[in-house]
Amino acid sequence: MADKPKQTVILQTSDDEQFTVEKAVAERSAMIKSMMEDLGDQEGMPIPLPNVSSSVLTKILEYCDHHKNEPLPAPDASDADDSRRRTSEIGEWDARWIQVDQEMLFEIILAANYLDIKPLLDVGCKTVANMIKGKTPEEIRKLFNITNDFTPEEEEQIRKENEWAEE
Amino acid sequence: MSDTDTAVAVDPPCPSPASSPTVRHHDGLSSPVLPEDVLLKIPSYVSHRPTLAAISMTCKQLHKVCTPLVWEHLVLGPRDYVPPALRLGKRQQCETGVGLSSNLRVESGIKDAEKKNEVAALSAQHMQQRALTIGDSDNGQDANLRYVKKITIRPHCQHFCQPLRSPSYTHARIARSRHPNHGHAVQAVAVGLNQGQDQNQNQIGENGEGLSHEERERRDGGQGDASSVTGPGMRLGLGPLADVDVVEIRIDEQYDYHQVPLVPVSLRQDPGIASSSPSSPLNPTALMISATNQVTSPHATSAPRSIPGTGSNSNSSSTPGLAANVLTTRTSNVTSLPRRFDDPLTTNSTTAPTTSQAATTQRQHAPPHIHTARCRPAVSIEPCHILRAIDPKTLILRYPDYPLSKLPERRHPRLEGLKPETLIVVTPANSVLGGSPILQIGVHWRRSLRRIVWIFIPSKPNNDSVATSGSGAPLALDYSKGKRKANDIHSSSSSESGKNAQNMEDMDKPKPTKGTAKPSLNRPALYNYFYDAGKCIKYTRAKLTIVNGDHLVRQATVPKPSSNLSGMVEREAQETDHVDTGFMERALRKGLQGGHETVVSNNPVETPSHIRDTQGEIRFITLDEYLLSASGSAATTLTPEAAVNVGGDWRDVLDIDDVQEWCRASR
Repeated sequence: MADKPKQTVILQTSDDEQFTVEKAVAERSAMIKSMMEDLGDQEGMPIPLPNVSSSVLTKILEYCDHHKNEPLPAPDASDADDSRRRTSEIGEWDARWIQVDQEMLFEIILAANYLDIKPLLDVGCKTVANMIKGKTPEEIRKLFNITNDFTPEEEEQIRKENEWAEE
Repeated sequence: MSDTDTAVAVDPPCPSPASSPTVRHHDGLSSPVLPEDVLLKIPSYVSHRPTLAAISMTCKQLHKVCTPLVWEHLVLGPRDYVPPALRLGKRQQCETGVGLSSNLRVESGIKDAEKKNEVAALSAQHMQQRALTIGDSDNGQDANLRYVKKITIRPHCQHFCQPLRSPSYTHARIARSRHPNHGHAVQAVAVGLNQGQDQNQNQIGENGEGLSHEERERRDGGQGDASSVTGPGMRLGLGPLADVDVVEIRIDEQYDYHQVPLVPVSLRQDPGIASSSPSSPLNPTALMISATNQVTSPHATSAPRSIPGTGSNSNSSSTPGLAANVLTTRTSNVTSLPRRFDDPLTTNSTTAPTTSQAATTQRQHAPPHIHTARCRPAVSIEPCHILRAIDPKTLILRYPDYPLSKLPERRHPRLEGLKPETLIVVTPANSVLGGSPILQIGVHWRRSLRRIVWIFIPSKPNNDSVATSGSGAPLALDYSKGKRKANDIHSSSSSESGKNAQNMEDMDKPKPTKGTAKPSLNRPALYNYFYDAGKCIKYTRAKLTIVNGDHLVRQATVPKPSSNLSGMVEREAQETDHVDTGFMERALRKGLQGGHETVVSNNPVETPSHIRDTQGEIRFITLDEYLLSASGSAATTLTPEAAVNVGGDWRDVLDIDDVQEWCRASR
C-alpha cells in the first residue's frame, strides 16, 4: 500500500533560506499553524519567518521533528500553567539538544517565543533559569543586559526585604 | 527531519523587527537580548529562592514579577516541598513517647520527666539545678541552647518510638486558604504518616542519639528534600497553589488534656481495638497515645520519684509518678501539674491528679525515663493553629497549639530562613496550660526579634474552664454586653465613647457567680507564662507587649470569697492581696534574673504598668488600649464580638492586614 504523500510547508527564514518541512512538524508552531489556517491551501507559497534565522530554524525544526508526535499543548494552558514550568525537569533529549552556546540559546528562545512553540520556550527558559541559578544580581544583569534602574536606597531596601530569601 | 532546500530568490526579507525590550540595556550588546515579555517569564521558571531574590534585585520590572514568586516561597515553600511539619510530628513522638504533642506538653513533660528522674538519683539540690537549667544559668543564650539540646536528645528514644509506629494517631492536616480578607474558602487536605515514615523516624531517633543539637538540626534539614521524606501517605496533594495567599498549617494537637476523654492503654495494646478505634486522620479522637512497650522497657529499673504538689507521689516508691501520661483511663480526672512552678506560695494551689487503679498498676511498670505526668494522652478540641506571615519580618502565631519547642524555624516550610522582627502571639485567655512558646521563640529567633506582642484573647464561654454565670457566659471576660465594634471607638461621639468605655470597664470586671466558679487560668500556668516571658526578653532583648495580661492576673488571682463581691471590690481586694498577685512579679523577676537591674511593678493589675530592665521591656496594655492603639481600620483587629467567638475562626479575631497596619502604625 502506497504511503500517503506527506504534506509539506515551505518556511522562509530571515536570511532568505527556504525550508520544506512536514506540515506536522511545522504545526508544532502555533503561529505557523494559525497562519496556514488563515492563508488556506496555498501550496508552494513560502511562509516568511522574518525573525528567525536559518541556523536557528534548523535547530528548531530538529526539535519539532523530534516532538512531532507529541500532543500539542492546549491553547489556554499558557501562563497559568505554573506546574508545567517548574515541576517538570528538562527531558534527556531536550537537555542534550539545548546544549548550545548562550547566543544560540537566546536565539532559540526568541524564535520559540515568536513561533509560539510553548514546549520549546519552556525548555529554553528552564535552561536559562538553570543558568542563572546562584548568580548575583549583577551577574544576572550582565547576562541579560539589564540596566539597574534602582536607586541605591531602593536597592538597599530590596536587599533587606529579600534577606530572608537569600539564605 | 526537514532538509534545507535550495534557496529560492524572494523579495528582500522584511527587516527583522527587533524587539524593543524595556528591561535593559547595557551598552555594547554582543549577544541577543531576550525581549521583555520573555525575560519577565524567566522568573516563573525559577524555583531556587535565592535566585529569585537575586533576580528581583536586578531591576524594577523584574522585582515586580519576582516579588510574588519569592513570597510564594515564604508562604508555601517550593512547589515540590514536603513540609517538615510532618517530620515534626514524628519527631515529637519519638522524643516524647506520645503522638503529636503540643509544645507545652513536650517541653513540660520532658522537663518534668527529667526533673523527676533525677529526683531518684540526685540530691534535691542537684535536682533543683537541673530543673532550672533555663533560669539559673548566668550565660543567657548558651544556657538556653543547652536547654533545647537537653530536651531534644533522648537517650532512650527507640523505646519511645516503638509503640508509635501505628499511623492511626499521627497525622497532620495541612490546610490552605486564600487571604482571609478575600473571604475565600479554606481547603484542607489530610495527610497521614505511614508506617514507613514512623520507622524512618525511629531511625532518626535512634541514630540521632548523641548528636549535638546543631548536628541534629542539620540532619533533619537534610531530610527536607522531597525524596527523603516522601513516601506513601506523604504526598500532600496540595494541587495547584496559584493564587493562594495564605496557607494555614494545621496540625492536630493534643494540648488540652483537661477536656478530652482518655483511653486506657489496653486499647493501644489490642490491635483489634486499635484498628477499630477512630483512626481517621481527621478524627481527633483517634489521636490517642500510648507507650505500651515502655512497660517492658529494659530501663524500667526505676527509682522512687515524687511529684511535688501532686497526689501521685503519695504512692509508695514502687509507683513512679511520672508515667501517668499513658496510663490514664477515661474515668480519670486529669489535672495538670505545675511546670517549673516552684513557688512555694503557689505550689499548694495545684491539684493532685486522680488516676484509676489501672493507671496506678500500669505506672508501677513504667520505666524511669518515661515521665509524663504532663504528657498524658489527650485530644485537642481545637486542633488547628494558625501561623501567618504578615511579611518576612512579622509573624502571627497562635499559642498554645503551635508547637514551637520542637520546631526550629528552618525546618518549617513557612518559617524557613525567616528572621522575624515582630512576632504576635495570640493566646486564649482561658488556656489552662502553663509554659509558653515565648522562650522557644527567644531561642530560635533571638537574633532577629525586636518586638513581641502577646495578645491574650478573651475566651469563648466554656463551662469547664471559665467561671460562668448562670447563663453560661464567661464572667471575667464577658463581652456580650458590650456589643460594640472597635471602630466605634473612633466613630462614636464622646458620650458614646464614654459609654463604651464604661462597658469595657464593666466587661473587665469579674461577675458574680451563681455556681461553682474557678479561675480560668491557673496560677502555675500564668507563672510559667511570665517566667518564660522574662526569659525571652532576657535572651532576645526584645520589647514584649502583653495585651490584656491584666485579665489573666485577675482571673488567676480572684479569691473565691470575692465571687460575691462587686467587680470594684474585687479589684481592690486583688490589689491588696499582694501575696496572690506577687507571684507574677516573681516569675518575671526570675525569668529576667541574670544580674540585670529589673524594676517590677508591685501591682501587676494596675494598667498600664511598665516593667523595664536594661535589656528589654515588658509592657502591659489592656484590651482597650490595644484597640485604641489601632488606627483606622486596624481597630477592627480585635473586636469584643470577635473575641467572644474565639472558639470559632481565629481569623475573625485577628485580621492579618489590620495587624500589619497596626504594627506599622505603632513602630
